[in-house]
Amino acid sequence: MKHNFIFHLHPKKIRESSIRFNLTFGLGGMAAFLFVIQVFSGLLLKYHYQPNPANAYDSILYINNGLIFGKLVRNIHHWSAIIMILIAFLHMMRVVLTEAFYNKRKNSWFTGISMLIIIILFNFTGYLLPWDQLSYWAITISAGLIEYIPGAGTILRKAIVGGCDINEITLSNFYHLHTGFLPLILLILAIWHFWKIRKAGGVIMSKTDNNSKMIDTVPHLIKREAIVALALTAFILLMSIFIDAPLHERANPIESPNPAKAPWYFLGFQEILLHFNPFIATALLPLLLLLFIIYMPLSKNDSNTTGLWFGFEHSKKLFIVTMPISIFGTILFVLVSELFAPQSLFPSISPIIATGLIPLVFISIIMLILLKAAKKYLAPSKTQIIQSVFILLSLSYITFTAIGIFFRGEGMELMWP
Amino acid sequence: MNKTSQKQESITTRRDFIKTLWKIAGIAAIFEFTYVGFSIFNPRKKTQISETSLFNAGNIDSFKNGTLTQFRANKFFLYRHADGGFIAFSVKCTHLGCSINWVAERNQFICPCHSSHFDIMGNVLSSPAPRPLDSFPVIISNNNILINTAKSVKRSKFSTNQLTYAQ
Repeated sequence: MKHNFIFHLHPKKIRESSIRFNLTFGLGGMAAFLFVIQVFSGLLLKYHYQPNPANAYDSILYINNGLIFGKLVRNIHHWSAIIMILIAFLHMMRVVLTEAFYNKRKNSWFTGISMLIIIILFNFTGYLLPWDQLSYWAITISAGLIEYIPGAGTILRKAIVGGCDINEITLSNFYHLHTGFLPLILLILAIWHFWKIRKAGGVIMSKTDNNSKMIDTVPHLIKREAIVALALTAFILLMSIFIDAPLHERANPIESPNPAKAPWYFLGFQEILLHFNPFIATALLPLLLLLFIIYMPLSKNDSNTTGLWFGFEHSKKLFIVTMPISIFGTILFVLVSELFAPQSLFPSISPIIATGLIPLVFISIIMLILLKAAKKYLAPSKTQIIQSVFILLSLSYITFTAIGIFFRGEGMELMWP
Repeated sequence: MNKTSQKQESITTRRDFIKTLWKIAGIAAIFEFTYVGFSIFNPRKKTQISETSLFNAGNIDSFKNGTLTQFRANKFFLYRHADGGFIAFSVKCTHLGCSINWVAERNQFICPCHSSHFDIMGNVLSSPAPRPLDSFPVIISNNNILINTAKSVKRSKFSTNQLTYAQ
């Protein structure tokens, strides 16, 4: 009976090298396990939470102060949510770096990206529920960000917020998305994701690994999965015991806090919007990113290093070069844009050129020069170029996010943390 | 096998025709359910949010020319222009929707979130705000000032025809 259920998820026998920890770091399994934690901690909170503006904040106060273990469960839910975004992101990076998105794994790549988006939506809808100053103004600002999307922005904002202001309708929308609709969608996508991975022959492996000896799933894989799950549980428990989830004052629609920031995973986006024209930041750049994500698995895999970390001759070198270029390039860009402020430098030029075309052309030229140089000295394959671009974009967004979180103070001015 | 038989005879069989119908019906169903879903999501257009919600700010004589009165709880500022006309500004910053503050010593509206500055006419003095403060329609009846706080109006620039005068 017990084994029957396990063999629904896993094959009876697996390759010995597929359970090597540093092949996958167990990131996908961690994400799945975090979903289980979220469902159960969320269900416990659901008993006491009241999704209307009059009682929401009080019910959170009750969970925190009146309910035995209430604070612990809320902390677990909060920290697991944040860790889930990080783990899902790292899992995506692992997939890119081991070339696990080609051919049979195309479908898993797309369901994976969809799940990342759903996880972010989970965090976003959950952010409003405490109905404190932090959540109220973060959602106000995010709704404002959505409004900048050309064409669909106003309608989209109205559909999400359910009117003009953040009010009881928004809270009701978000609550039911968070506790009903999104879990269902995520569960369906996850099952699809797992099924397709099993169809593709389990986790990605290199050619030599594919010939390693077959071993029993029970106990070898199950034991390792249990260790990862227990270690993660221990980490989250310790974190939740010692660090409390934030709760500010009751939401006050009249008084904005200073500075008011979007939720942390949107701060990179908010930071980009400070430097680029809204059309570029909310339409063009996300569209280009989406096209790149769709292009990745459709492009031809010209390598025979699938399933290896840094399998190519110059992979490590390329990685070591890409990383600082991305991070310091982003920092430099923010500083230049902040100091010279193209909008005030050329007030006569229309903003779409000053804060759109000029920085975009500037960045494109630098990218092309770097690509030429890389091609000349490191002779990368097509797959390597895709990996490098992906690392470049990811690290750049992480840097934007870090600047938004730590280096923006009052009035969104740059400052030292 | 299916594919080769389709290549050999290009005539549409009844079965193929019905299969196509199923596909079309399926796509239509997806659109229908999406539409229903979105309508459920956004039903408040006419039912829950009314287009007018008049707030009585008081008698016109209680406002001097060239003064600003704050109605923060009702989310607007009422300004009486030097020539006697009225305009009501929304407290919402046009950048991302934070509540702006009136800073009397600088004679400016300043947004605490991303420090957009506006002058007393609501015009942008410093970005990131993309346009002047939105206004609410002002109606004057029986010397009472009524502000329609349900309907904010986007403006591109201040002009005197946005002012409402007593009859």
